[in-house]
Amino acid sequence: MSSRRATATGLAVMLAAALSGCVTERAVELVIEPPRDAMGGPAIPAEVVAWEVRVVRLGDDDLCPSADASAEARPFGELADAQSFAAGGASMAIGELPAGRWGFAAMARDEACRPLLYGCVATELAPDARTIVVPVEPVTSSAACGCRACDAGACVEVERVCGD
Amino acid sequence: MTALALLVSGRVAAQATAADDAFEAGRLDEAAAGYGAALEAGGLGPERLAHVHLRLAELAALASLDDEAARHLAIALALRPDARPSSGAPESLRLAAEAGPTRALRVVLAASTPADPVEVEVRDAPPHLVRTLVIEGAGGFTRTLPWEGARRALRPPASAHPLSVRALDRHGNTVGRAGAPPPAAPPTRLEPTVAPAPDEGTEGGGDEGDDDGDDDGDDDEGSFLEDPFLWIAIGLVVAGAGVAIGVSASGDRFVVGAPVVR
Repeated sequence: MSSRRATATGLAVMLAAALSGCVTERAVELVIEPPRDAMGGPAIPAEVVAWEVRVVRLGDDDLCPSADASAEARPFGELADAQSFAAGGASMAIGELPAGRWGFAAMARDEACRPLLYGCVATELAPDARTIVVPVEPVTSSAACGCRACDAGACVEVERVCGD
Repeated sequence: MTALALLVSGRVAAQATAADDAFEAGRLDEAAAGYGAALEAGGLGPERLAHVHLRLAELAALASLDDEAARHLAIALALRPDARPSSGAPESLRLAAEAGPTRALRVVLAASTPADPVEVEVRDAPPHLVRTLVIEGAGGFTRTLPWEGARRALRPPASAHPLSVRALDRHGNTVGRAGAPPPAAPPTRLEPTVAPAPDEGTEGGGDEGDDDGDDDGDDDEGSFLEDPFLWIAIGLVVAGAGVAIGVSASGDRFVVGAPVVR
């Protein structure tokens, strides 16, 4: 290979590599999966009046927060999104998250904001991420909203972090 | 229409690129004019828009226009919380950036089922930045709503799903998106720069066929420059830099939809 040809090849590869740099947006579905009943449908206790979802950025070795920590909105990771929505009602899109390791926590509460179902998944948002399934299981906890107020099953302000 | 958009996009990118060159060369008035023109032309995406506002913040800070600097910095950080001024920026601006928000502006689109009304909202945006929301969907569905700080709802036909929403500033620059991924945009200029490739002219003598190895002597500078392994090594380094640029400028954004219980 001649010297100039080597350099020209390098420049061509550089140009091709640089032009290939782009940002790809990927739609990800977040599914909360309650326990199943005998018919295979979701077994959600009748006392559940609201759901709370919290999305936190995790470090490489971080695991999900416990049910109590999540229920009381204790500081954990970097909160990216929190929302509460009525059981059977519409939720809000979470929106854009950068690649990395995230914790998706979901909790069902009763009228007094007591947690009845809880689940959390710590996962890497990688290019093959399409659907994030958060299985939730029955929990017994005396925790409620922490520093937040309980308003008919919803902790307000839902995005508040207690202890910050 | 697409060709026109590409043409405008290319012109805006060229303006911003010229402004970058002027900024790096210390021609600050020229840089400010270039960034301002790129901003007002519209058509910038969030990444590029953050860069332009960051540079305008630096230029305003250097001119002691503190309010203007703070306004541009707030927008840059809302778009990219990890954006940081260059090392030549005033200390006060760099400290302000460090103390800036950790959460980026977000556009949210709530559309649980096609039968429900769709709600759109912008969170954590500096005041008066977002002026318009453009909701687009299948079959050419488009709605443009003014954004006044309160959640908006609309009921598009079921056939319009999946939907996407773009938040625009007053010049038509895109500050955020949500929903179904938009059509692929043409690549724009990349931020990282590499050192210029060695000047071919230094090789000298027009001696193209220098692979035969029977050189005159190792103590001759001309012979050193004509060493094919030197140029092969440079070629490999340049190729590696290109791959690094490509990799660093590539990435994925994940748009997480509304949680569903099922």
